[in-house]
Amino acid sequence: MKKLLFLIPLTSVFILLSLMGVILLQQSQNTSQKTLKSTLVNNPFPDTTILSLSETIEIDLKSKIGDPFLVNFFSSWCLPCRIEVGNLETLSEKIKIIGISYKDIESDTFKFLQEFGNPYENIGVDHNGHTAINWGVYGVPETFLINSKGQVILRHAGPITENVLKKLLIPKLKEIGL
Amino acid sequence: MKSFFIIFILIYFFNPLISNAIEPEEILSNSAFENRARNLSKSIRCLVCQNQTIDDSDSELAKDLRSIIRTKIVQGETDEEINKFLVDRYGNFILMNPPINNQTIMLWLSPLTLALLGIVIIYFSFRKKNNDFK
Amino acid sequence: MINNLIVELGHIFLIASLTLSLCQFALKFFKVNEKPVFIPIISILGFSCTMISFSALMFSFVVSDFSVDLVAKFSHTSKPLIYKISGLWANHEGSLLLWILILQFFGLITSLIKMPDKFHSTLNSVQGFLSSLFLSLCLFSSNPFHRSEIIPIDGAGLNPVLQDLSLAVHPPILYVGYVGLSVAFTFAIAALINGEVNKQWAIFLRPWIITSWIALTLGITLGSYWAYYELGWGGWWFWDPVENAALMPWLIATALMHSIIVYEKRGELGAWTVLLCIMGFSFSILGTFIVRSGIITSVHSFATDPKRGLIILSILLIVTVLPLTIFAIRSKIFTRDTSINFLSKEMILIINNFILVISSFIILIGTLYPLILEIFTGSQITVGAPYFLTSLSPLMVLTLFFMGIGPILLWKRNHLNEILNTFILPIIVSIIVFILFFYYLNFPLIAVVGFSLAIWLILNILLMVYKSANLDALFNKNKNFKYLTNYQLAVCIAHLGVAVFSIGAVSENFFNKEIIVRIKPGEKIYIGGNLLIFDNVVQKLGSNYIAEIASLVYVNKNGDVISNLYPEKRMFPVERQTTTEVAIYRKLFGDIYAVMGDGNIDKGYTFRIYSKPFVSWIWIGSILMAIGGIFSAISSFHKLPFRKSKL
Repeated sequence: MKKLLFLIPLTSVFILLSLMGVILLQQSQNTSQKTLKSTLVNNPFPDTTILSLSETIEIDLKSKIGDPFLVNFFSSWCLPCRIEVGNLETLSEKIKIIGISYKDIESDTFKFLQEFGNPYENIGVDHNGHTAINWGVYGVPETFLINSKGQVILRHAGPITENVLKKLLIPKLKEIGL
Repeated sequence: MKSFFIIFILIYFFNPLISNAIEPEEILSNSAFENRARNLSKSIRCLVCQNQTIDDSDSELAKDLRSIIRTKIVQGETDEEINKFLVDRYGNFILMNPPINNQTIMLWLSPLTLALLGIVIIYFSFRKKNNDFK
Repeated sequence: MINNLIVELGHIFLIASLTLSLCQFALKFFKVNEKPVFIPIISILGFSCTMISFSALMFSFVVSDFSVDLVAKFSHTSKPLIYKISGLWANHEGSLLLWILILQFFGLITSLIKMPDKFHSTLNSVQGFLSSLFLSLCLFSSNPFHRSEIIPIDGAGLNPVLQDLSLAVHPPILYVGYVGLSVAFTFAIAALINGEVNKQWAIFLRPWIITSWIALTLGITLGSYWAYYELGWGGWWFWDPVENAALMPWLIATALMHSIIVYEKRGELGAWTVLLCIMGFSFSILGTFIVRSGIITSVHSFATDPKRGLIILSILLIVTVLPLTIFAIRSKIFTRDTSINFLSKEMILIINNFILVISSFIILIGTLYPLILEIFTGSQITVGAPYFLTSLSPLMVLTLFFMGIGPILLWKRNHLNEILNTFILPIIVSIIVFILFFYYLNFPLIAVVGFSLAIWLILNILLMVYKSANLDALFNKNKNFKYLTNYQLAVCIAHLGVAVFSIGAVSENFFNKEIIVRIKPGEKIYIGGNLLIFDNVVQKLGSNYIAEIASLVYVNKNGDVISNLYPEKRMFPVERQTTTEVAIYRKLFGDIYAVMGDGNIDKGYTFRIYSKPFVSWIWIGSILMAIGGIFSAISSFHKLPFRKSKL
């Protein structure tokens, strides 16, 4: 009994340290940065009806269901958003991209698109940030991949870098036949 | 966590609309509602901060969430409904206090378990032994 | 160039120090321990080398030598001198060197104290092992003398939030605490290796535990106080992983301080004390691992690096698994020939230890659970303040209760009716207080429990003073007054500190008042029974920032000025950050706390004003605890024989 008591600390420490080793190993292998998981993945996307950038029409995303498409939240004041425009343009050759301008002024958005490029088929605006909150967005840029059934099959938080394009998005697009 | 924190520090630096925790304009005139809003906010995590609640965060996202909470309270939603709204969109991470479910049951039971374990160890270490060792 | 020479010297002497530490470790194996003269010599040499190395690094920081990578990343020519100096330990590599310096300094002191030869030589060897371990970590993976690839014109600067006096001093004080625990660790290992644990050993060990405890108390208090006045959130403890990482060793150190008393006085809890020495140090390293490996990030994070984390984890493995194996093997040396009575001081101290250690494990679980859950299930959760407060409150209640009883109870045994007679008065008064606060003042239940227990504790401290100083000599001419011993003073003052702290913490939690307004110059706020008038806003240029300063005048009902408050917002152009400087009007019975927000003269400025009753009692209580610790240290230090020059 006494020997058993004396072994308790050793065994507990062993378990604890192994756990931490596992945590560390997992972290160092993790290529993607640590982000908040999206609750939308494998679920239908939220009802979204927003005003277009030109303020002339309303865009109801439900009407876009049929072919797969990307939804990209961006802003003119967001630095990483500039980095990903080129890669978004590459993607736009394979798949439609709907842009949602987050908490921005229309004139600034237009300037941004002129200066860095416009990969979007449609652009909507989210002035008060509530649409973004409905999508579980916590910063810009964030990109969602919607399949032909209207389900979110991928969410990437942060800019779409070369790495993300090659290792995450293009393979996923291939999976759904694009 | 640090990486996304850096990204958003960048984003929020460039945002000219940075506010400073609760602005006077946010406060509801109905003090019962406002109290509920404050209490709820104190239990919701700011997702782009280090270990702060949306009640004391300066960030835009915190401000938006505070505004949504107040709107919902005024519209008559219960605290459970508001929490569910947030958890549906951001997951359990957004709650400062983890829910009690089969994943967190070990967390909630551990204090009691540890206490019981301690008592057992103390008992076995200190009980009188009849046949003794010197 | 002299700068270059100094950096290279710093590097060389660090290597020399490692070599000496390895020799120190090896001494035991070469029977050289028969000549005890070697022990202090090698310690002095080792410490001197590290001191030279440290001074070299300090020099580089002070002259802003940006050829040193560390200086380039963490300093800037415009920084005030004090922050150039403290910048040395505001990063992983520099703080590691500081840790090693303190470790070797303490090692030097232990080498100069006269202890039994066999133990002393084993101790020295173990300390050499530890120094070598950390010096290797430093030299091979976190070298502070690493050179910049490109020498920048100016450094990257230090985070403005960290450019603060309290925070400059906070790490060294905490490291004294952690290193003190490492000395306790070496004592435990040396005793285990030699196969002998006795009361003499405890007498030599105790001063280190107390020193470490005092340093940890002050370090944590300073950190908490800094958060209060700097961060502008009005809080003082956030259950942040890094705060928890410092709190856990503190709890273990407190438990250790109490269990070693039982061991010295009654020979009980020997094995447990040894185990706590190992645990205390393990928790310190664990804390380091949590902060610096990147598994959790927080305001304290240094640049995180999984590779560095793996190295620290390996060190943690070595310093826990090895000692615990030896501990299990040597279990035979711990015999017990007496039993412990339930109604005795020993039992109360055992309960105290039980509560403290369980608390530290609860905090550990709460801190690591989100990580572990995510690894195994992918779910992300947050374990925040509510969890810790809910699970620790019952334990805190028990602690306050038993703290009242413990010091008065006798060793070995007490009779139940004696106990009831002794405590009847405090019990009655505490219950009256409870009824008063709960039924008449209608305070929240938890606050009432907290206050009643604090008063219970204070009453029992008074009772203890009464008994120990023979104050009943007032009524009994046959008795004489007695002075309290250092040890008794320590108990009274430290426990008083806990009571005062509890009152402060409970008040701050339950009786805060907050006012949020947008006002223009000339407008007023009612708070704390008085008026706060907004005067105006001025702009000012600081040494490395631009500030907007608001002037608020605090007046009483007659219009007399009580005080002026100047909350500010500061913009740091180099680091591109804005910070708020809170204005606090401090009084013993409460603070007025003012935070300035955005705005302009036309629309008005936002202010958040708090009235925080008794909040200073949190820090005052902690300082009282530390003062109690100092009395305890004095009582334990004078038992130590220092080595005379009979070498």
